[in-house]
Amino acid sequence: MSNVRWRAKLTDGTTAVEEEGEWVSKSGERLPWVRLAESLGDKVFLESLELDCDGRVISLPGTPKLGIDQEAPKAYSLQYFVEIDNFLGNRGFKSLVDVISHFEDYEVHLIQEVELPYNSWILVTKGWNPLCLALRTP
Amino acid sequence: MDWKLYAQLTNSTTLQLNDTDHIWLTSGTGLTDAILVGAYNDGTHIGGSDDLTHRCNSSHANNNKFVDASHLSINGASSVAFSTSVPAIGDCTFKFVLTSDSSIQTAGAKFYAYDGSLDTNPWNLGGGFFRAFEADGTITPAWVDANGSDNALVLQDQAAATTHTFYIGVSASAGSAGTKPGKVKIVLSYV
Repeated sequence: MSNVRWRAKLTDGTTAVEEEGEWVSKSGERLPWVRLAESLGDKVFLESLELDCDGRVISLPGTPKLGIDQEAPKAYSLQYFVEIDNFLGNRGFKSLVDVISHFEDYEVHLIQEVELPYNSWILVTKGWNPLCLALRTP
Repeated sequence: MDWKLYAQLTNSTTLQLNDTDHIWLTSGTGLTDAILVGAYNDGTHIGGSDDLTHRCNSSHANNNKFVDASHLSINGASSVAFSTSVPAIGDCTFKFVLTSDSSIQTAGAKFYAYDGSLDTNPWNLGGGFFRAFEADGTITPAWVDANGSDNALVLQDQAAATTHTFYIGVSASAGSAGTKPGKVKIVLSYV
């Protein structure tokens, strides 16, 4: 099991943590993030989102810090990547998670390897088409 | 998450590739039958990591040969035009299977060759080409000059399921004599 998990604080005061309680992976069912996004409805939203990477917590934009005035995202989305290098010989496999903060006209991606060496990347895109969006605000 | 790569053989069976196997695009039935400069592969073979063991010795991997953007030759037969049923998915060289305990949807899968160091750098074939196509029985395939990530073959998105299968054909030529080291990569997103 991966040591990289998302943790979402919801506007109803609860916290959803990947692979805990209701949000464990279930055989044959959609991944926990998809189930969370589908369960939110129009009354509960995400307040903040974090990625716990083997004990090192990375807070996505929208989490208050140091009293800095910041622009908060409208929504978050999450997807996974697999990268199979040298597909036709001596293959290497890499798995990554991409947690995306969606702003009005751009997106900020935190791309994190889910296994050692836990490298990560920050990317900014425009017009990214999310696979599974969870609203932060109505 | 688990994935396996299979070579689809001319006798309609499959051969699961080991992580260290090598794929040989050659001019004939031998593992190292060299392709003439400018020509495309007439044989596709699975070799072991020692570059000597011929793993598809009794029945070779399906050979998909580039003819032009909309035509191919399958296992040495005459040129045929791509259609939703040509090639049949079982005639593609490779079958890539991704399985997951959870039900996942895939999107934006890409398949491309590169120089082994930077994804945007094409595999240096000395002026030759690396071509690839996907077939799934519903789309009309087309050869894509899938050399460098900017020119990747984009694979079809697949709806949520626990098993995802992609059928891919490849063909290559060299523009000059000599060894042409390069790598081929597949990247896909899912949720």
